[in-house]
Amino acid sequence: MTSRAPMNSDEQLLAAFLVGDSEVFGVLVARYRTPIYNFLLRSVRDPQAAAELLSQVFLRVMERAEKFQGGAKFSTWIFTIARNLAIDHARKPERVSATDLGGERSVDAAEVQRRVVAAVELLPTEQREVLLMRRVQRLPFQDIADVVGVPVNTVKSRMRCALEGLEQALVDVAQPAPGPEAST
Amino acid sequence: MSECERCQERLVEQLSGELDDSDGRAVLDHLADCETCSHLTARLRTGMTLVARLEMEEPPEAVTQAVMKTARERCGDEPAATTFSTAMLSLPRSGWLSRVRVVVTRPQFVMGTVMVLAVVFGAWYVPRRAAIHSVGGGAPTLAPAELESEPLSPSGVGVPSMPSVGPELGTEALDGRTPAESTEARLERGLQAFGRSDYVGAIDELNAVASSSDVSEDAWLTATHHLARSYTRNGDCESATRRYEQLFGRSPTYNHTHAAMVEAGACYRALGNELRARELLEVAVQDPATAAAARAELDLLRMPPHGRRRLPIEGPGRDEDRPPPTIGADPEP
Repeated sequence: MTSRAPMNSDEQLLAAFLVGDSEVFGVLVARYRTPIYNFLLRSVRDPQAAAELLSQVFLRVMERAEKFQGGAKFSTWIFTIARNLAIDHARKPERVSATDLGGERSVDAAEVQRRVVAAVELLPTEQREVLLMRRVQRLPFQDIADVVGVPVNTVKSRMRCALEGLEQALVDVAQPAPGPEAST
Repeated sequence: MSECERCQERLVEQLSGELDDSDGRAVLDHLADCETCSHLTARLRTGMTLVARLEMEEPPEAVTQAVMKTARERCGDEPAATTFSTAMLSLPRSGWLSRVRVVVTRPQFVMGTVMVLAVVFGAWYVPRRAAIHSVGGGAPTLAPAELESEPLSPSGVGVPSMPSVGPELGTEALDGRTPAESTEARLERGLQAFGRSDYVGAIDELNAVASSSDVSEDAWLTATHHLARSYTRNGDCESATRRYEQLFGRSPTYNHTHAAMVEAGACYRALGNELRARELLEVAVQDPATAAAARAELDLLRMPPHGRRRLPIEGPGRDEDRPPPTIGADPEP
């Protein structure tokens, strides 16, 4: 637990790391490991590859920290690194396509989760990456446009197509859950 | 560009709550009159609900550890895995400790230290070895006093005896619980702890239930929901939101998803993640049972930060600290 973490922006933490404070890097890791991992996991569809790529993302951040432009956003930068690594991975000929959903859930819940995951993974890459950046990190549309390198209206259009695609693919599981008999 | 095209271009932002008041009103006015765009809005909202069900998975802890080890090595806080690397010095450092660290890792210093230690050890060991040979002429023997201190087994052979362990100790786990204790019992204890505002105790018990491999679906849902609430009231909104997200992954079989969305919305608001808060609350506000609570939270999101009330995470004594309703057939805490 680092008391100073909530008061520091990502960019300030990176600057502190650059002058030799290793612990602040742990705060950055804690902030981004889950969003970046999930972005990679749904992009490369392989938990082991996603974990390896996640470590590469943070290593690149360390290696290139000195080149980070102060005026840029750290979140945009790290997602750009993650996206580039995912693209490089997709170009490799041997890819494992597997989704480990764990074995502890019931059949119904696991089935719904599996179908949502599968539907997301089946989206066209340009739609999926926009959807994931919104889902895992709530990146603003303009930031996503900066990462992807397209106009912001294109990002919004891709997001709309992705949502429509999901709704179409999962129309049977999209029914609302039963309402609570006794409300909180 | 037609009115419909203009509206559809803004729908995603509208559903994310990112349009300003005038643009948002224009979209709503159009939706009131246009069946096509209203239908598209419903589809997009459903899509957003589905995306919210996409469970966030935690990366392996080993990745974090490896990354942090590298970070410490780069900052010189930890010896590098390799013998010595000038890359360790690439980051600017200051202070006497860093200078000492650089000196002691130099090969000349290491070799010199090894040679000094070898001389000291030789000066101690050679006379001692000569004394041993002069007394026993062979293997070193134990002095009588040393023999007396060695406990004997009943057979008389010099094997250290162990204190007997009673059956009551042998079946008891270190934390005082039997290993075979049922998840139901732990769930009940967790709910009771929650009911008396012992959130640390509740987290301990409910975590065990939620991570158990043989837990029933109902028990998992109850445990996870109360676990999220316990984290919230213990001031740990990050852990709480992770549990809420797990819960949403199973929402089709859970009756209190919308209530959980209102609670999670408050957590995200406290964490400053207003987009996610709004996303969940927009879903919850459509359920009559949770509409009022969701609307109240949405109103808080619209207020400037200094005018908002704080999330009830400071501890007992507030209305929100009442035990939540039990779910399904679970006993009242």
